[in-house]
Amino acid sequence: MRPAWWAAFPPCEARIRCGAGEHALRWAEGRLSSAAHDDTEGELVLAALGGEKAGCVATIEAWGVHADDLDVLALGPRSPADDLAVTWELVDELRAALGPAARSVPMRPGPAPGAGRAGPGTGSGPPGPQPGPVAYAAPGSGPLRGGPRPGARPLRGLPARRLSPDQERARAQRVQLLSLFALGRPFQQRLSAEVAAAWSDGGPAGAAGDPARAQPALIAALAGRLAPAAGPWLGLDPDAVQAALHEGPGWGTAEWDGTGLRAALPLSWLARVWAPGFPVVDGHLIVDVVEGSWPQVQVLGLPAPGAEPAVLSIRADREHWSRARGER
Amino acid sequence: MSGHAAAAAEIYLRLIAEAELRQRPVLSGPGPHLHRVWLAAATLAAVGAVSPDVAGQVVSEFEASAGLRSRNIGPVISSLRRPSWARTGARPHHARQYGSAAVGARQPPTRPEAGGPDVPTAVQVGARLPLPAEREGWYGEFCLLSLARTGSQAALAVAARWAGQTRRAAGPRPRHAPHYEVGAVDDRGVSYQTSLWDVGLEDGRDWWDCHLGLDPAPAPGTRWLEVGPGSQGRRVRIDLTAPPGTVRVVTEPIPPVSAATRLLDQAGDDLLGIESATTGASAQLAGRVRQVIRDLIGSGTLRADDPAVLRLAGLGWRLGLDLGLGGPVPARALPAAWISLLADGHAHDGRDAVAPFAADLPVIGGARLALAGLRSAPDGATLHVMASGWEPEGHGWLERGTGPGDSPLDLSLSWRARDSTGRWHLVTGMSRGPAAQTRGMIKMYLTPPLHPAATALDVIVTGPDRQIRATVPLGRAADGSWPGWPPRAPVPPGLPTAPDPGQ
Repeated sequence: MRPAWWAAFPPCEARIRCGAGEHALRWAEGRLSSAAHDDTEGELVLAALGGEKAGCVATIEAWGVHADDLDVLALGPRSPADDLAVTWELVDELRAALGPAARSVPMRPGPAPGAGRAGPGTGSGPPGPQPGPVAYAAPGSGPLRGGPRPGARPLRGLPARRLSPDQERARAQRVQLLSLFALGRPFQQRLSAEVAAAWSDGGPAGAAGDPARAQPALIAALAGRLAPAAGPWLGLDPDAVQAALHEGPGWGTAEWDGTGLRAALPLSWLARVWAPGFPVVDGHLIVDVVEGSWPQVQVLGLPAPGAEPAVLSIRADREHWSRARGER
Repeated sequence: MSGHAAAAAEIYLRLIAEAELRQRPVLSGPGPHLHRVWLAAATLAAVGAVSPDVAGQVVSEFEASAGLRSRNIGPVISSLRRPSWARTGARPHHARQYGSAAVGARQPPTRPEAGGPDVPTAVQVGARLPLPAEREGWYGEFCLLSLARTGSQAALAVAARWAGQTRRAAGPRPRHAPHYEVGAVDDRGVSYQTSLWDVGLEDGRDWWDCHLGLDPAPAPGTRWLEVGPGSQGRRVRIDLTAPPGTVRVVTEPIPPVSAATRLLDQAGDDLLGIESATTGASAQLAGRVRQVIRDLIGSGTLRADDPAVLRLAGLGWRLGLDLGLGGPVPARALPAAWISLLADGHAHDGRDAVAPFAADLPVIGGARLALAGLRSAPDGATLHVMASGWEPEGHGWLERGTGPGDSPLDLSLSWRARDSTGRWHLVTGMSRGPAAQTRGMIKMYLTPPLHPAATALDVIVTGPDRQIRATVPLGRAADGSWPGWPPRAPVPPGLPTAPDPGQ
């Protein structure tokens, strides 16, 4: 039986500020969870009824919102060298610059904007902890309850003009997505994989509109990630790598067309091969995972364009994958 | 555009974005950034190969991605604001909204109805209003060409200049246009405020083409207006009930032509227009045109052997430009206008003269237009147009094709002219002012100049499915004068005067 798309991923964790403390978010086997909140769904129901939404719960909710969001593939990393400059400080700055509309967690019902509010931190003097939504912060980076981190700077160059309601929503969604990216590179890879997996079999369940309209974005997502791996594999400029989506049985094709590589791979390649970090191992272009789970999996690898794929056993050593012992 | 073709074009655009992202672009400050993706998106959206929404989305994602990788977070958020050409309904009267439905362009949300309050109409004036002396004794004059108006706006097309000086040994001629304040009154005793707009640069030129806005617009039923007072209390009476002039207007259907073809033909016009204005200047535009061709072919919108591609390549060859493909093509494959421009593009033989004609054109591409006179100069001519339901691309001032973000991407209407000697003229620039009183008034700059022997001009406006040809008289008399030019204002004896454009 073919392993699940997440089989080659190890679990990963990030600590975020949640309420007055810090909690660990854990991703494992395709699911994000928090040990400190074992009834996430129940907490979401309470939050919908006006209760306060915990930071962990809001993040898990946001993860679900973006689990089939093509923006993840549009903005997310393309290769190990492709580093996104998304930090908690940056997310805080965005929230500070853009105001409450950009917060990814809902506000509790409260006084109108500008009205006085009793409670700590609302009088004169240095700001202190305030009731309200929880913003996400890296551990040890200071109190964040009720707003951005002290010292967060308004961003220069942001549009001061009024946005339409659609643009406001898009902006809030983008900041929410950046807050997920801020969880770190391992989470960026896993979220990308989740989106790719969601779109691998004709589009996510309940997707609005015609899934075929997503094809150009999916092809670009595949091409943008295959090229940086396959180009160096063949000593080619990545621009010489052409990618298409393979549909149907089998892993696809990868041929030399005289000027470059022409490959057709299923979208699931992003989730199963690229995102776990082994698009090329030991001179082979990996095209599929056959069996196993992290830290050792069997894969199909092409030694050259047009060649028959070989079954390889590869093993993870931290972030790096190489042929398992006895394979050479 | 079929769904398959649109998808292919979108893939092409997105792959450009991926390739550009690998170059780690840095976008500084807020947009719009005229990067490779923006330019390709603008091209493909202009011809309907991708929808404006898709083009805007790809640009937005690219700019956000670039910002995330260059630690410049501004574009991550500011990119949510779509480029102007991708905003639905942002500019309800914008030209592109009136493109061909066949290529996926949007239909206008509002169109001027025939005979409705937004329909521009023009009456010929053809009078000179001498002005009292201003600085250093210099006195100017307004040559009132035509009055154009809708139900809510009215403006006179004016050629203004300094006509002479009342004192010897006074200071030099002012570098700005004469702006003596005049007013207007109508047959019912209603007073109008006037203000001079769209004057342009204070560069000491001989003539300023401008618009004298009237506030309010004359009400329906108004029979005449008097504008003044000028020098010695002189006024010019404008008969608003005057019958239409002798302009002949012909509307003809044209064979369906793809938007991509029209874009390339427009690019050819732009190359020739800019080359006519300044020898060698077309090279500045060649890179952009080369990119347009590449994007249209690469996206599958046009084939490399499409006649439009070949004739543009042939034009490039004749201009000594490398457009990335092709070589010589026979002259018969080039439009007559291009052949004419290649021959006469650098002519400098135009007369200083004005032609105060008026013509109301039938609807074209959803737009209503009125022609409101022309001023001829040695190096070109300025045509005044009042438009409703259409405005030129750009922000008030457009010099076609001189920048990567400018035209040739405005495909809604194309403008050419041919004078009675057979010389063709292209529109090399358009200017419209921001003032509410003169809204819709557009100055179009024609090059090369009108032939000195021309007696009429065909103004040719081409839309997606039809062409309007308005033959306007230049009024040239047998003795070589332009009778439309009234006598010069009286000048004190022995004082220098400006040359009379009618001579």
